[in-house]
Amino acid sequence: MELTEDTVRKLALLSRLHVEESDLPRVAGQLAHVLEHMEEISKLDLSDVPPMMHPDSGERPLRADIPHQSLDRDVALSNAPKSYEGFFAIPKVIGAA
Amino acid sequence: MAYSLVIGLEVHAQLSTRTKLFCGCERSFGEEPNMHTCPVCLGMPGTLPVPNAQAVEYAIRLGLALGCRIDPNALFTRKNYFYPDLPKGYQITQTGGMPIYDRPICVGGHMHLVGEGVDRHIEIVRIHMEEDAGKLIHDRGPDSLFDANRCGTPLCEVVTGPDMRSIPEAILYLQRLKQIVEYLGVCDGNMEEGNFRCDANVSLRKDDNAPLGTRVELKNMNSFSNIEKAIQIEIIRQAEILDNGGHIVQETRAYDVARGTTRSLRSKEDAHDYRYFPEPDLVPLQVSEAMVECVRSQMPELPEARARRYVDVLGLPEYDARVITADKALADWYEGILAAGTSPKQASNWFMGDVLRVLKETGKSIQDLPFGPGHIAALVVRIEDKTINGKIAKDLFSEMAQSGKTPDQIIDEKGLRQVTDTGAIDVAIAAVLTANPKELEGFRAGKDKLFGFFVGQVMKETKGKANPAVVNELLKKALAG
Repeated sequence: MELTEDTVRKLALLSRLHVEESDLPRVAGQLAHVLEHMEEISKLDLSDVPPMMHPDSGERPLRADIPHQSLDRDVALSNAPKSYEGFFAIPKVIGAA
Repeated sequence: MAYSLVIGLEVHAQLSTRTKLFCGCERSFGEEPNMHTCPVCLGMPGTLPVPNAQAVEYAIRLGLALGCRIDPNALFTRKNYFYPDLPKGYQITQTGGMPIYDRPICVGGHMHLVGEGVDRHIEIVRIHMEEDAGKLIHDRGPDSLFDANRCGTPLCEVVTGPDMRSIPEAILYLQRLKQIVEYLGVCDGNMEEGNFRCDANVSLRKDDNAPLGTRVELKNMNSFSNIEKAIQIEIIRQAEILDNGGHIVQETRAYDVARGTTRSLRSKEDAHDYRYFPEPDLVPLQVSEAMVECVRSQMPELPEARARRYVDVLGLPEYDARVITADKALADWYEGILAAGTSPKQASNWFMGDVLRVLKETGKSIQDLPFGPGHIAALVVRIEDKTINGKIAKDLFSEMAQSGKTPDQIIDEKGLRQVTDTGAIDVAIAAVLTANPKELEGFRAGKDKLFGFFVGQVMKETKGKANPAVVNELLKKALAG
């Protein structure tokens, strides 16, 4: 499984991870290794095995639609580096999706 | 060159639960920023989402109303993206990159669109549940500002096939869907407040049999008229490109209300860029057959059925039944008049004529009228027990529509009680005959038409309060003299 440095750069961008240029060949090699392992697994005939949607097959209760006490706004905002007039203030992001 | 148009619609309906989808923060609109947040909806490490039972029930209700199959093991997935309108860095939704993870709660429904020259079968491909994002503001100061109140609000996304062939079909579909969610009580359907939002996938092709063209997704349309305009503008834009031999780029475009144009938001990211995977913090939903049947047994009456009942049981004309049931609030108000004891036909006469006229003239919604259905019922009672006549009733209605006072209050304050006392009416007749000797002479000489003149004069003399039947009878006697 070939993995180009460009692909690693793109993955790093999507994951918001910083990878040094000098590290790209090493990371590419490691990721390729993981993919090779997946390819190995893909060779198994699993046509009779139902997909596992979640490792925990147990049932979980749902929550009743009853409001709880929300955080005090000052407390909520105190976790952020910056706030402004009740808002979280963040670096300008317009159109930067 | 003329092309044929293909439209598919995605509607995001905010569910009208009290709390958010995965935490107990209250759902809100238009409040001070960040008043409804908690560690779950702010994406704090170590927190876990717990689905809201009411939201699940609403999604099932909507699915059943649209003829969908309910998946007993719907799966939540993560849609990963870094944009600060969701602090977690991902949205919990029910779409997946791989088919085995794509298990929305409702699939395979349909809506048959009939009316206004339209007759088309619309496939409801899927309805999935997901959480709404928060709100970003970019035009106040040097920073972008984030309000997490809306973050985690439950949504149902209703997705149609590429089944609509004209703008009126698209609008009719949206009107019908809005009507249905309102009837079901699962969504407030308020487009301005953004709790019923629509994205339109628009493409052109050579003719109705050609393969589908490349689609463009239109966003940011918060009213029916904006949707209409945005699609119209997009058709022209695409037709120009195709006419010049160009290719349509698959992308998302936002409608710019002020400029009346659409502008590209970004080329649609490849689906796998969102890196969907099953949400590890949530096990698949367990929706038992019994739960579905329970929701089915409590389904409210839908608009179609209600209109049918108005025709079959209440005996209203088809047209009246459609007008009244078009909006659940209108129909509830109308039935409020019936509940207060008025006959269906009389209630619909006042409703169709007078109440709807007031709504049109004042631009108010029915909830904001100063009077209620009980006022109409009381008014009808006062006509039937002959306290007032039909003419006075109309004046009284106008007064009531302005002040919100009850009919009895107005009758007492203005002394509108109908005069059936023959003595008082005789006095009025005598006065009229004395005042109009010429007409009296003419009538007695054979001008029968003058009878109407005398009735009018007597009604005027009694300030409109005389019982017209009694006036007729007494006047005949007096004129026979």
